[in-house]
Amino acid sequence: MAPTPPRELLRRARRPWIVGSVAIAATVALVAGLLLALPGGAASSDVATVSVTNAQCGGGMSLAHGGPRTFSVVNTSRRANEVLLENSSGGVVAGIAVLGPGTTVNMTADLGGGTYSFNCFSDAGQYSSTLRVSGSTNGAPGVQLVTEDMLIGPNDSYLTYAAGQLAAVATDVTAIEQALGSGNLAAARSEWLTAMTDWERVGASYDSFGADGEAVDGLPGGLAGGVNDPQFTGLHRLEYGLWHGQSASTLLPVAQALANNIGVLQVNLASDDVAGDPTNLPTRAHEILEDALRDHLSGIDDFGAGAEYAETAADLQVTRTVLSDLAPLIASRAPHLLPTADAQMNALQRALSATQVDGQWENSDQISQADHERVDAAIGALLQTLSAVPDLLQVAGTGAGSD
Amino acid sequence: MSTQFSRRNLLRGAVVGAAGTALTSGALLGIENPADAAAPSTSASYPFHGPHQSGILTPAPADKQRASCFASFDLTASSRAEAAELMRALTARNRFLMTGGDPPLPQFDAPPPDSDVLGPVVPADGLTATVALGSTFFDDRFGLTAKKPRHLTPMRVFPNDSLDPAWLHGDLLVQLCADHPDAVHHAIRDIAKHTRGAMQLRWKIEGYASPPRPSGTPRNLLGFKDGTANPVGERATDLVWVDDPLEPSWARGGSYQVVRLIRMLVEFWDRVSLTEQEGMFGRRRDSGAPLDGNHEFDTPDYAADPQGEVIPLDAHIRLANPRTKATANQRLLRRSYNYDLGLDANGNLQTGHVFVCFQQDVHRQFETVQTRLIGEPLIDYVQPFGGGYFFVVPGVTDEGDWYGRRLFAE
Repeated sequence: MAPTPPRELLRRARRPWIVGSVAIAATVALVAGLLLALPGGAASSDVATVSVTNAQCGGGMSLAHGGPRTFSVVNTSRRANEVLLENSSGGVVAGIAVLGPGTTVNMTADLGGGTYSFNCFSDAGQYSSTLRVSGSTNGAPGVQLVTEDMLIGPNDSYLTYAAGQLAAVATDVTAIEQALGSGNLAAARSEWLTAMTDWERVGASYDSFGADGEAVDGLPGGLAGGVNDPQFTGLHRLEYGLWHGQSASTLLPVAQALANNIGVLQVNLASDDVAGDPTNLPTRAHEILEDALRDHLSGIDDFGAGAEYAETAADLQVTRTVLSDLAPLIASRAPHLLPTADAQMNALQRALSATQVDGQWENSDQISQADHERVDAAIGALLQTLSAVPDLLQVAGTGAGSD
Repeated sequence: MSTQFSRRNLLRGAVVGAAGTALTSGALLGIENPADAAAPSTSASYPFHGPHQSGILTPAPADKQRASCFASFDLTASSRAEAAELMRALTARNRFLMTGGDPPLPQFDAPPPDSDVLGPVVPADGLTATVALGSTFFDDRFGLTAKKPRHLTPMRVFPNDSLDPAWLHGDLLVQLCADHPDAVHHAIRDIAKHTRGAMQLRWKIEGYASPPRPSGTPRNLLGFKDGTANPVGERATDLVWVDDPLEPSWARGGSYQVVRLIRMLVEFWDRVSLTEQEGMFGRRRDSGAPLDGNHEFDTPDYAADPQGEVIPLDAHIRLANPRTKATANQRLLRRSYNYDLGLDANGNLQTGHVFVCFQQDVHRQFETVQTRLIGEPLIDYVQPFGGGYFFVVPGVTDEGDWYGRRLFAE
């Protein structure tokens, strides 16, 4: 069987962005409400048909007034098309990432007076037609699509940061090896927590670092032998042993293999299979903390250390870094997103810190329900905000015909 | 509870000793069940006797009952004779529960024979009780090792699983489906009561089926229509019932059942764009149409889209059912339910999918399909955490028959 491709790359391979983008330019608080209004006929007026043929993208259209409108986009060509409706300043107000041959999909946009264009992209090239809307009402401002070039700088900045963090993890793992080598399990446990939180600060969310990343932080759930499976390796394998009475001599080879795998990751960091693809950076902005919610705060990846809050705090730190790398691109498209996220990140930090005693992280089961709820509430609210980032920063021209 | 109610029960018990059973219960029916104006509508009962058990193709998945329970038991019976006695007891209970009727009349000197959760006369309520055996039923305890169905093993671990031993496997599975949740509850309570000491509940989960929203195949909790491509009619029959001459003869007419408990991370899912969601499934969310079609039941044309430009090569529907000649006999019959189990430790809804499928050969069908799905994009949003492989024993043919009679006799 072929090796399983890295999950992140599979998931994001198509990098679709479009449907619902109308709402993204609005303030963050409004996003949810507008999205709710989109599907099927919130735009009550009649539905106009836009025909996509082998050599046409609509036939030109004039509307007597603005407001929410639904277009029925019919692809009678033999090719898959990406269809965008853009305003005169190039802002995308609606779109269909993939419109298959022979299919019809509705597209809804809030239009203002002015000139728009329907643009269809396929293997056969690009076709356009003009949509004129009379009147002087304001429509949705539209989203300026991102180009891959625009993400290279931010991703390079992230790679520099991640390389520094990986070097810190390598140092931490050396310290674990030394502690195990001298039979000092207490010191090894302490060094493990440092290594684990430094690793979280790398930002390898959702196995986005591929097989190399999984060798470092993989979980045993999908292994036939579970925690005893020889393929269970890395930080959580060490955690399991350190908190389940395994001997230093048993764990030393695990730490040595981990050091080796960190080294592999340092070499491969900038490859597309790990963190080199700049178009993956926007997904990192929310998925690192999605990962914290799914794996840490659920207890799924706790193998004895009870480090879920320490890990989540580290995830918050790297999320701040990623957001700061992306800040100019986000701020120009959704001015309210970053201030909102910043306030919510501060709230999450406060909620996490409130669970500490004398500056030390407590085991999760020693934390009151009220403190748990404050953390869950803060991360949930923050994630709702951050979930807009990947769509907001979708890369142009990644729909039909571009895979 | 009124004193009148207590007194009536007391009277009812007292009358039994004096008068004939049939007369008494008929008279009581008239008293206790007046008007019936508020009684729930309920389908007729499904057959208990037949070559195959009900609850698989009877009723068919498209018409399956709204409420369900999947209850896995371990046998505590200590001999082959006790195991056979358990199967006879289970047969008697399920025959009664699926048929409905009057419970035995209460005795003055004993607790009542029925819980009355469904009232004094038990309605069938469309109940199907389907009994299946796990591979451990055929270990060395009962001398049945040589009779194990050929393909019955413990459920294997797939790379994207997050399995919890507390929710895995079992010697015997009872699938209960009914029109209403109270009938399912009544049935599992009755079965456990009448089999105590011989088998013990290992895990159980309740599931509910959604109605069509607004039409067509019901939606799963990710909001997508689920089950559109389920085989029907003769094709379903040909894929489900075991007829391999290499199988032990007692097993023919049975079926392999796979149950997978799959948590859905709905909060995360709701934070993902519609385009991405549709790409993962390969269908439009609103209509259920494949991305290359316009209506739910349009057949996707993968040959026309070899690069996956319209329906991604790793879309769930494309991996699960490539619609080729070579994969046609890998199709399986799904009969799944939604579940809600309270909350996860992180405050998220603990909710998801009781994936249930039936087939002739668990390797040729479920495992082959599931292997193709390894690494599919959807795995970030779902976590399989439990379930097992079971073998649905052939149907109970008549009043003198019982579950697995030929298994124990041969």
